[in-house]
Amino acid sequence: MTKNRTPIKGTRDPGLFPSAIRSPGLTPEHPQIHPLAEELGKRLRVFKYKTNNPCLWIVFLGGTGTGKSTLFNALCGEELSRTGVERPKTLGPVAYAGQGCFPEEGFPLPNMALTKNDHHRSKNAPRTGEPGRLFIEGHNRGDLGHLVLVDTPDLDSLEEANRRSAMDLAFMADAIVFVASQEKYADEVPSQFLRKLLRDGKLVYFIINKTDALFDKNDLARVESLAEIRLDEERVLSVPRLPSVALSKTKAQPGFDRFQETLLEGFSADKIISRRKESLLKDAASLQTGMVRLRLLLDAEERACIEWLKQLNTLFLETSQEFIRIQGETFKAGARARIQNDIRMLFSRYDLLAGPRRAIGKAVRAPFRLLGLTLGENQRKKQAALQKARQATELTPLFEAVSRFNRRVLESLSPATENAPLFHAIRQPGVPMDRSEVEALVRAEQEKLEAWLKKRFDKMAQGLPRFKRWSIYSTSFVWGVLILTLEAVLGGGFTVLDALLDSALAPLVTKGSAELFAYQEIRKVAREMGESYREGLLSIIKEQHDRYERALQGLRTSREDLDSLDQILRDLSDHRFIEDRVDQGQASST
Amino acid sequence: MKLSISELKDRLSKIQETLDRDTLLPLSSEKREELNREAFGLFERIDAIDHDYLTIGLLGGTGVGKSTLMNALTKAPISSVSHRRPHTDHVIVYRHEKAGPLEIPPDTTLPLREVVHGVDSARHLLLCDLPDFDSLIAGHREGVLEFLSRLDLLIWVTSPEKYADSRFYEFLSLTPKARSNFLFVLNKCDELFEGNPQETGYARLDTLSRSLTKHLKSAGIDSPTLLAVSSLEALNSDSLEPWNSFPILSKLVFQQRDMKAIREIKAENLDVEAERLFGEIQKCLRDLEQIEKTLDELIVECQEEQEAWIQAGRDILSSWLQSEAVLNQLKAREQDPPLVGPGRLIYSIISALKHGRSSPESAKTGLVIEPPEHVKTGLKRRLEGIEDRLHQKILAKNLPKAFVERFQESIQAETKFNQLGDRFFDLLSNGIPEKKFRGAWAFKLVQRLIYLLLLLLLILALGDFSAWRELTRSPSGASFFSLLVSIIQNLFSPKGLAALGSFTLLNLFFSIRFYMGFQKRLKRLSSETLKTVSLKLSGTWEKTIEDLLGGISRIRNTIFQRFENIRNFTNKR
Repeated sequence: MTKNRTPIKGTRDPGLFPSAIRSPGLTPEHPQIHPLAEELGKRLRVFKYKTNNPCLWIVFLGGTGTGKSTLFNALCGEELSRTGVERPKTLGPVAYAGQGCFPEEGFPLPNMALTKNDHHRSKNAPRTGEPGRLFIEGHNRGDLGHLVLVDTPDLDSLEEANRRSAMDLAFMADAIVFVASQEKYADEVPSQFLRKLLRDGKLVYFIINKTDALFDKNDLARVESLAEIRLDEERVLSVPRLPSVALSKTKAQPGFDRFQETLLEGFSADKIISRRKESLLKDAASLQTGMVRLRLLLDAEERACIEWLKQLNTLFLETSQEFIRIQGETFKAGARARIQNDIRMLFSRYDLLAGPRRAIGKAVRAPFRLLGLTLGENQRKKQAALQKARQATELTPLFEAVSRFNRRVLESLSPATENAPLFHAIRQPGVPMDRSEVEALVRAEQEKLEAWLKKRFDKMAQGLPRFKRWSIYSTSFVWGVLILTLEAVLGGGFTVLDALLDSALAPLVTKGSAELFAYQEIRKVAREMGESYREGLLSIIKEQHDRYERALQGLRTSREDLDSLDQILRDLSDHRFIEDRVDQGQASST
Repeated sequence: MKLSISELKDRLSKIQETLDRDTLLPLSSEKREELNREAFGLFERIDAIDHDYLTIGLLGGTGVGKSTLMNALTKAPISSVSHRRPHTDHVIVYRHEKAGPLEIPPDTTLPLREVVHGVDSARHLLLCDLPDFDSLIAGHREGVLEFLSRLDLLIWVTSPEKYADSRFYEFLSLTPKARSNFLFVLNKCDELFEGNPQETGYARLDTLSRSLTKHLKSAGIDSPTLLAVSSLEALNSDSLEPWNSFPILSKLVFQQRDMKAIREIKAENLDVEAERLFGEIQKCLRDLEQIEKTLDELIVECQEEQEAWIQAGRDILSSWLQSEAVLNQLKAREQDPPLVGPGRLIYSIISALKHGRSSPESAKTGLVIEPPEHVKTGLKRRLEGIEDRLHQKILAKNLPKAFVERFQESIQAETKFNQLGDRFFDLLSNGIPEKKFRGAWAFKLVQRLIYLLLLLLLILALGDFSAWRELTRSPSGASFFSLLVSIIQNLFSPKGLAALGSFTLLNLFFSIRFYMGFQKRLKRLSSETLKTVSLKLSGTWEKTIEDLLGGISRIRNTIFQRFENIRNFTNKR
C-alpha cells in the first residue's frame, strides 16, 4: 500500500485549516466560521486518510446506557468493550480491525493517541477505554477482515471529551450504527448528533435497543418529524430488551440476528470497492457542501471588509477635511511668515545696495549699543519664543483630529459584540495613537519639511535665472541714478548732506525693488510649503487610518488561502479521480 | 431560614428599587425586566409561605417512568403510561377536593390537568407530574423551568439508563431550590434484577447507587436522599421485593407535616431563590468594579493632561486679549472724563469724530468687549477635543453598553461650551470694573489752576502797565474802570492780538498735554482692567475644564455608592 498519496491534487495541504481561515467578525454569522473551518479541516484529513485506507469502517454511536458496547461485543463475537451499570461505562474508543487494515497508518486525528494490540496473539480483558486514546485490537478473522469496527464513548453523558472523540470517529465511518433505546430514542442530545450525521450524508443504521413487547415502531415517525430527520426504514432495526448482557444470550436474539445480518450483508467483502466509492463520494459531496458554506461565509466577511474599509476611508476623509477647514488659514499664514525671511535673505544677495544699507543700519545703531540698548535682538528673542509656542499649539488641533477620528471609528465601525476578533484588534494598545506618538510623527514631518525647504532654497540660489538677477540689479541701479539726478537737477546742486541723506534713502528703495521680485517667489514657495505641510499633517491622520486598516487586514483570509480553498473544492468534485484512487488503492493492497 | 421574612422583604424591595431607578446598572432592559419579575414572584411566595399545603413535583427525563411512579403513588391510573416518547406534555396535578387550586405561574406555557381526589391523607399535598426536560420538544424544558417556582419539594426521577445524562445534571444545576428539599428516585430498578440471581442484582444496584451518588456529589449534592424503587412493581403487585424502597418514598411523600415543617421547607427554598437573585445582582458588581477601575484610570490620565488643556484655552484667550483692538474697545467705554475746559473740548471733538467713523459692535450685544468668532470656535474645538478624547478612551474599553451611553450623555462638550458662553457673557457684561480715576479731583484742580493762571496772565498782559499800577495804588471804581478800558483797547491792538494768540496757543498746548495725560492714564487703567478680565476669563475656562473632568469623578462616585449599596444588601450575612 502506498502511503501519503494525496487525494487532493497538487493543492496545499488541507492542514491550512483552521489557522489560515481568519475572519474579522463583521457578519452576524461569523461565529460559525471557525468551528466550521476546524471541522472541515479535520474531515479533509480524514478524507485523505480514507482514500488510502482499504477497509470499511463501521462506528457505533449512541447515548450512555443504550447498549452500544453490548451490541458491539456481540457483533465482534468477543468481550472487547466492557459493559455494566456504571455510567458512562465506555471511557475511550475501542476498534476491532482486520489484519490488513492498518488503521494506524497515517491516522488523521492528531489529538487521539493509538494503542495497537495483536488480539489474536494476546487477548485482553474487556476494556473500558481511556479518554483520548483509541485501542485497536487487530484480529486475523476472515469474516470481519475487511472491516474496522469501532465502539465509541457516549454522546450525552457528563464527559464533554467523550462527545468530541465519538464525533471525530464518526467522520471516519463508512457506516454508523446509531444505538438508541426505547427509553432514550426521543432524547434531544443524541438526536442532535444524529441530525448532523444524516446531514453529512453518512449511512446510518438506527438501532432501537431494549424494546419490549409493547414497542410500536410507528412511534418513531413522530420523533423523526420532531428531530427533523428522515431515517431509511430498511436500516431501522429494533433489538428487544434482554435481562442479561451476556454475549451468548445477545447473539442468540432474533432481533440481533437481523441486525447482524443486515449490517454484514451490506458490508460484505465483495462490496468493499462499491461501498468505499459510495461513501467517499458522499463524504466528498458533504465536504463540498461544507466548503461552499464556508466559502459563502468568508465571502460575506470579505464583502463586509470592503464595505468597512470604504467607511473607514470616508471617516478619514471627513476628519481630514474638517481639520483642513479649521486649520487651513494657519497653514498659509504660518508658512508664509516662516519663509519670508529666508527668501528675503536670498534675494538681498542681488540687491546692490544691501551692503551699504547694513552698514548704515549698524552706524545708526552704534550709539544706542554704546548706551547699552540693543535694538532688534530683543525682538528676535521674542520671535523665537513665539515660534515655540506656535509649534506647541499647532499640535493640539492635530491631536484633536486624531482623537476625533479614533472616536468615530470606535463609535461607528466597531463590531457590536466582543466575540468578533476585530472588536479587540482595533482596541489593541498600539493601534490608537497617543499624544507622544503624534508628537514624534509631527517632528519627523517637520524635519522632512525643513529638509525640503533647504533643498528648495539651494536650488533657487543656484539657479536664479539670469534675467531675474539682472532685473534686480538694473532696477536698483536705475532707482539710484534716478534719485541722484533728481537731486542734482531740482535741488540745484549736490551737497555732502544730500549724499548722506540719499545713501540712507536709496537702500530702502533698492530693498523694495528686490522684494518686488521676491514677492512672487515668496508666494509660490509659501503655497508649496503650505501644501506639503498640510500633506505632512494629514499623513499623520492617514497613519492612524492605516493602523486600523492593518488591524483589519491581519484578520482577513489571504487571497492565496481562498484560492487554495477553491482548488480543494474543484478537486472534491472530480469524482473520477476519487474513484480511480479507490481502485488503485484496492489493487495495491491485495 | 437565614434571613427573617421582614429582612428578606426589605432586601427584595431594595432590589426592585435599584432595578427601577438605577440606570447605571449594566443590565439590558430584558434582563432588568426578568429580575424584576423574579423579585415580584418571590414577594408573592413570601406571602404564601403560610399556606398549609406543599407542592411536590416529579421531575425527570423522558421514559424514566414518572407517570408510572405517579400512578403508583396515588394508587390510581391518573397519568397515562406509554412507550411513545416524549409522552406527557401536561402538568398533571393531583389535588384534594378541598384544597385550593394550584396557583399557576402567570406566564406558564404548559397545559394543566387537575385530578381531584378525596383521599384525606393527601389533603395537604399538591402532587404534580411534570413533562420531561430532555426530549426533542424544547418547549417542555422551558415550561418545566418556569413551573419550578411553584414547587416546594422536588422528586428527581431517573433510571439505570439515564442517570449519567448530562441533561439531568444541567437541569439540576439550573434549579434554584434548597438541596435539602430534593429527593432522588432511581426508578426501574427491577431491570437490574431481571434474569439475574439476587446477589448479582444487589451487586449491580450497589455499583449503580455508588456511581449515581458520585455524579450527584460532583453536581454539588453531598448527601442526597436516594431511593431505589421500581414503580412498575409497586403498581402491579402488593408484595414488594426487599430492595424496592417504594414504601419509604410513599411515606416520605404522604407523611403528615405540621405547619412548622411546611413553613420550614418553603423558607429554605425561598432562601435559595433569594440568594440566586442576589447573586444575579451581584454579578453586576463585577461590571461596576470594572467601570470604577476604568474611570479611576481615566481620572489619572486626565489629571496629567489637564494642564495642557487649560493652557490651550489660555493661549487662545491671551492672544485675543493682548491685541490692540481689545484695549481700544475698553478705552472707548462711555465715561465722564476728568477733563475740564479746553481739554474737555478736545476730548469731545475727538470722540465725536471717532463715533461718527465707527459704531462699535459691542453696542449691539451690550458687551464692553466681545470675544471674536475665532476665539469662540477655538475654545469650542478645545472642549470638543477633550470630549472626543474621553469618549475614545471609554469606547476603547470593553464596558457595558448601558454605562457607555450614560457616560456619553453626561460628558458633553456642547453643554459645557454653552455654560462657558453664559459665564463669559456675565463676566463681560457685568464683571468689568467701572473706570475710576484715582485723584481725578486733583487732576481737575491742576487743570483749573493752570487755565486760571493763563487767563490771569492774559488779563495782566492786556491791561496797561499804568492802569494796573493805578489800580494797585488806589483801588477804586474809577481805576478799575480805566483798567477795563485799557484792556479792551489793547485787545484790538496788535499787541493784544499777539497776547490772545499766545493765550490760545498756550491753552491748546496745555489742553493737549492734559488730554494726552488723560489718555495715558486711561491706557494704564484699561490694561489693568484687561489684566483682571483676562484673569477672570482664564479662571472661568479653567473652571469649565475642571467641571468637565469633575463630571467623571461624579460618575465614579455615584458608581462607588451603588457598588456599596448593592454589596450591602446582597451580602450573604
